[in-house]
Amino acid sequence: MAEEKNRESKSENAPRRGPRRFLIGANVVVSVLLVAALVVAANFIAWWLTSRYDLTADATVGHQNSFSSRTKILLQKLDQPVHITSLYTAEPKDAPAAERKRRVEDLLHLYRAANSRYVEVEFVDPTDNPAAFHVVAKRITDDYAGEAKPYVAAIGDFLKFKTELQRTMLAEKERYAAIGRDPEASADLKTLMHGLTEALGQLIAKNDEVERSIETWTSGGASLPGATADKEGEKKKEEPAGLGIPDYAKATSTIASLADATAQLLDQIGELINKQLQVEGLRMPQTLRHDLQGADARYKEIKDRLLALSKQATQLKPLELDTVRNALSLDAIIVEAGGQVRVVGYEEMWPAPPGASRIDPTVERRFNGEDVLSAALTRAVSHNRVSAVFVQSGGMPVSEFYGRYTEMVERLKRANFEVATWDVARSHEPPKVAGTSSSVYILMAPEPPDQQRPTPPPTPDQYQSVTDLVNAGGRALVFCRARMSPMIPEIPYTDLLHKWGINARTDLLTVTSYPINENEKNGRAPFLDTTAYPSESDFKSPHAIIKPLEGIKARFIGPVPLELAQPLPAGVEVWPLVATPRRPDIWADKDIQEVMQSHPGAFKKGEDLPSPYTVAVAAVRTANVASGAAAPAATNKSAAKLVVFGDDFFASDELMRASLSMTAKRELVLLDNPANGEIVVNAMLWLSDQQDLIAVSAKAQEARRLGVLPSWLSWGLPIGIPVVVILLGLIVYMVRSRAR
Amino acid sequence: MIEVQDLTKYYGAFLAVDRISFEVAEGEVVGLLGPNGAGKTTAIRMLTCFMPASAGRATVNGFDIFSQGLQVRESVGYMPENVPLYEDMRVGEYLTFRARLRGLGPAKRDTRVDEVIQRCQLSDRRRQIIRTLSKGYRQRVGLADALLADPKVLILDEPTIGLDPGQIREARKLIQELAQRHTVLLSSHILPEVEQVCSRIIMLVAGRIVANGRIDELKGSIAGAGATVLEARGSDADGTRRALAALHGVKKVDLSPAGESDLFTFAIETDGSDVREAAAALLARRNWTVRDLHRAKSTLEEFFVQKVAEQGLFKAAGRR
Amino acid sequence: MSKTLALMNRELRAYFYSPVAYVALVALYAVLAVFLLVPGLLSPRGYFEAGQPAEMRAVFDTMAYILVFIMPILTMRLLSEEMNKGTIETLMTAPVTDTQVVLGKYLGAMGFYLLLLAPSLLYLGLLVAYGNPDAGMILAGYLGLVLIGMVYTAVGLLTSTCTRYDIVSAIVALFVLGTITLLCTVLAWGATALRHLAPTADWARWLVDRLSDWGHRFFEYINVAKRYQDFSQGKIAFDDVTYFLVVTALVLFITVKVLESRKWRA
Repeated sequence: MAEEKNRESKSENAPRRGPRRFLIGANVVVSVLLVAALVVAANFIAWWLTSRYDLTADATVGHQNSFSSRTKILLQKLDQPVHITSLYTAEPKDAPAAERKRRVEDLLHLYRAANSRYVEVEFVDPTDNPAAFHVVAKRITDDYAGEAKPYVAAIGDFLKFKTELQRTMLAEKERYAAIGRDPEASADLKTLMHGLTEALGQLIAKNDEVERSIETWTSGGASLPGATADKEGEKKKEEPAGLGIPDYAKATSTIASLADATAQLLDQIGELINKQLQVEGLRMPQTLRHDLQGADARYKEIKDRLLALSKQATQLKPLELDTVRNALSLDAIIVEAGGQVRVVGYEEMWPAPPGASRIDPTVERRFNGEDVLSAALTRAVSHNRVSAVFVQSGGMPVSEFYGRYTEMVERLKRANFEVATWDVARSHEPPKVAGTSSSVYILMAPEPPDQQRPTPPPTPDQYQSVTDLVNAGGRALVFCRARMSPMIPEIPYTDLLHKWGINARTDLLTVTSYPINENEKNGRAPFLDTTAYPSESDFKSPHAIIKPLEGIKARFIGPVPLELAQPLPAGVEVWPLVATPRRPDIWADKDIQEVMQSHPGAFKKGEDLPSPYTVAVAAVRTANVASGAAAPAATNKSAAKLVVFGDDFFASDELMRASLSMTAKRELVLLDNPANGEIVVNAMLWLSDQQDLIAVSAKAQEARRLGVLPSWLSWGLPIGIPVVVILLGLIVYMVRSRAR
Repeated sequence: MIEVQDLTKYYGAFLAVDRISFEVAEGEVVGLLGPNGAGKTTAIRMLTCFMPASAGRATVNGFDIFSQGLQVRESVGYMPENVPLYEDMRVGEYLTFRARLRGLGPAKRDTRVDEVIQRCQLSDRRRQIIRTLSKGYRQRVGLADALLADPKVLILDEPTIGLDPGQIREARKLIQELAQRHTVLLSSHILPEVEQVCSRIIMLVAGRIVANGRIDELKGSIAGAGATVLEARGSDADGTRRALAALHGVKKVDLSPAGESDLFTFAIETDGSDVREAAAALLARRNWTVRDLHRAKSTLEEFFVQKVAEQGLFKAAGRR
Repeated sequence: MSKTLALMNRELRAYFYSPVAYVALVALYAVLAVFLLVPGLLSPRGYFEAGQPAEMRAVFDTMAYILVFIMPILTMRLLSEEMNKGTIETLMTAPVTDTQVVLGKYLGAMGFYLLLLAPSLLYLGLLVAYGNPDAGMILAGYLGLVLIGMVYTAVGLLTSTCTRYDIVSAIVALFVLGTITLLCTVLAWGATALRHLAPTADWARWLVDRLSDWGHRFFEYINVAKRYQDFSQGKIAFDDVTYFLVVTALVLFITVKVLESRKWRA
């Protein structure tokens, strides 16, 4: 310390410290600040450029982060304003919810970036900002003002009538009360009058209550639940936030039931009084009798008006607004376009995997945003739609909810097809589907006869009208099926196929051989899995339908080979869509019955058809369109088109939907054949001349999954890496620790 | 080669080096001498551009240490005090790495590494990991590193500290050899080392240069050079002192008791002539028995002690 | 350049000579193994199982978080050790510039970081062998990992330059990385929650609203993990890439300035 002091004293005549140091220091501080400012500026510019020009590259091969061409074209074709509102909300603590909200908002930004002229997006957090939500609710209500007019009228009529009704009922109540008080009245009469007074009193009170409720319902109800009162957001998921929108239907139905109840009560009152008058007869004093008589007549008008009101209220058309309101909830998306409102709910946006519990929060949900939003947009703005007509002969409509093709129907609807059924056994005329400009006929292979209600097997004659329509330039999606049992009828539309030079070998069944066990011979099972579709090396060029399917798995169940005539009929052009791979373990087996009953067996030369062969084709016919039957108005002038599949199981719900299955190790494995659905939708789009919409949905891309792998690998690899690193470290240590 | 002008360094408010100025000519071997904490290392660190000077300027090999740091470092081979090395590397690896850092091309690099390894006698340790080397070998690795680029100037900070006598001897030999090809500036607080190796000494005490000159020059300037010390037993000490003082060539005689009652020490200051025989004769004449008679040798050590002591006096004065 | 490479080479070697690097490697992949194998962490049954998605998104996302803890260990000794052992003196008196030293150290650490990622290619190999992963998505994921590693390494290097104690360096780096990855989300929400103060005065409400809005945006913006998730999803956004590169450059620039500061600070 002393020394230090000493040296300081010496510094009196030493050069001053400081200037040089200050100079450098200031220089550094300034340069750091400058660079920091530059960094902020660069970030800002980058952010601005990115959001302005959407400078985001989608690195995924499957375009998972960009819109499918379907959505892109839809957005390009947009010719009217679309307003998309997100009601997603997230509490600070809820990271998954925040992540969902972010993804949804990202997606909506993409929609706006794709067409900023017409697409407007809005983010409303109802828990955070109830006022903003009420604005949205008001707008939706206004959108449906026209539709709700009859309801409003009915409610207005009731309210007007109600004052009069109340007055009458009060008068009646007073009248019966007076009679009841009369000393001359018999005990029975008194009791009756008391009862009537009571009933009328209750009805009057009920009327007032209903009026109050109606006020609440029509004004849109109370404030949002969970928004103001509880900030914890406990009621978040279960409490619908739709209470900003009037519930006219509830009001009118209440009115109807109230009117009915009132009319009924008035009826009963009349009846009871008449009965009492008869029972007491002349015993009743004249004055009372006079007072009691004529109840029926007095009530007649009121009853009529009540019944009319009830009728008016019940015969109203169902309100779209109700559908919207019921669908509204937190974490929903509202799509408003052309006066139409569609609500995309949480379950639609984030479907749980098949078989998983919907309320289990740990279930990993898939983000289905683009699919459902684009579908909602399409339905909201589309002008000309195409009908998908399922053609069958007898039996229950296969496209209905109890059928085997609900998933296919759902996907067609999402692609903006209107689905209908044509039972050719009943009608020779195709069904007229409102709002559609053309049709694609889907020829389903006949179902095996129902044991309980056997139907006659379909005949080719029944299908004549369809065949004519298609040959005259129509469009058809044709499914074939091998005759897996004698019970299964032959497909009745082979003639149609023959005319196009296509021969469906329903006597053959595609099988894949597999090892039964380690020692024995191979067995065969009627299925075909493929991830490779005909490419240029195999055929002329990949067809539009299968072009976007690269690498996505499809599964067929015993498809039949489709043989092509050599040469093809004039004007017909055919593209293979699906072909069996050139592999010895796949062939078309002749012993269909045997395959179906017992699996062992092998390829028999001469009898069985070796791979490769085609199991699905697309065909166009330009010639002879005008000949034969006159072209129906429903089909347009361009060529006739046909897509033929050698299998109809692949379009069934079992194969189109992902399902969980048990492996040999008793583990659940997700079985997913994403290409099945894509092929059908793409084929339908091609058939309806909408090939520009052909694409693979993001959903199908997400189905890239791991196949069966040795179990030691699935745990051995993660554990093996650190172990190997430890060994390496030890080796290096040993080498380095040797002195020289 | 090295020119220093008013070089000053503060550590905060503490003045570590106070306006030192000196020059080192090409081919010189200069020792920077001073007690611990005198500012030797600080001065060297400024010259090697490890630290900036608070004020003043200096050039090494004609390059300014402030504005041309890179060129300065290119022309200097520096071995820091205690020789910090990357302990996890092998000797050869380390020297190759340092050669790359010094910008030696791939071809020259290998030959230079071989040369310095030869020069510093590290051939048998080439593949040894530095962590396992003894202090002496570390010192050699540090020196080899400093020599890699064949620099014009070698700056060695306490090159022999922590070595055993045998190693010190070797190190000195090596430095003496190096002096033939390089300009050397070395620091030390050990006198004999500097005395043996250096042609010139710059003495630094408390941040200031207190002496700067050739060793023989410095020796000559020591106060009291040529004193003769006489220790003898007898009576009439004062009379004897006067008699001694009267001898030819004697300037002054100091008398002090030497512990025993009749034992005295005479410090005879002369003008340089030898008075030992005359003094002995005189004492014999006066019946004194001589116990010891010698001429005090003029050493650097004396000089050193003297300078430090002066600073001490200064210190005391400063405190007042 | 050659000097920078020499420094990089030496740093890279130093990693292999030090047990810390192996500990970091083992820690990363051991923790990852736990995540991959324990059902319910990354997937209901285990990550590499038949039927699981053939992708590495969860691996990448998890790695980004584990690296928050690993990178400080890897970078802590870069300059702290030099200062602690005094080798900084030999280093800085060699004819190298401060920029070369920082870049050399940085590249060395980045080099080791890339080697750290290398074993994860085995996972990719498994996916390719038994599934058909989306190549673009995985490439984007690796690009994201490299970019996030650049930021992490730069931050670690900066804290290592600031102190001679490597433990201090590691802890500060951990804190900074934790802030820009994990804590940012919380801070962003904290900023939003400011609004609930709802002061009555107009100017105060305006101020609180602005603060909450800007605070939220700021923390969202600097959130490295969130940006990283874009990459693991296969999205390469211009502003994300710019952010990572520019932040790395800024941190390295500050590092050089800090290293230089010893010339005028003392």
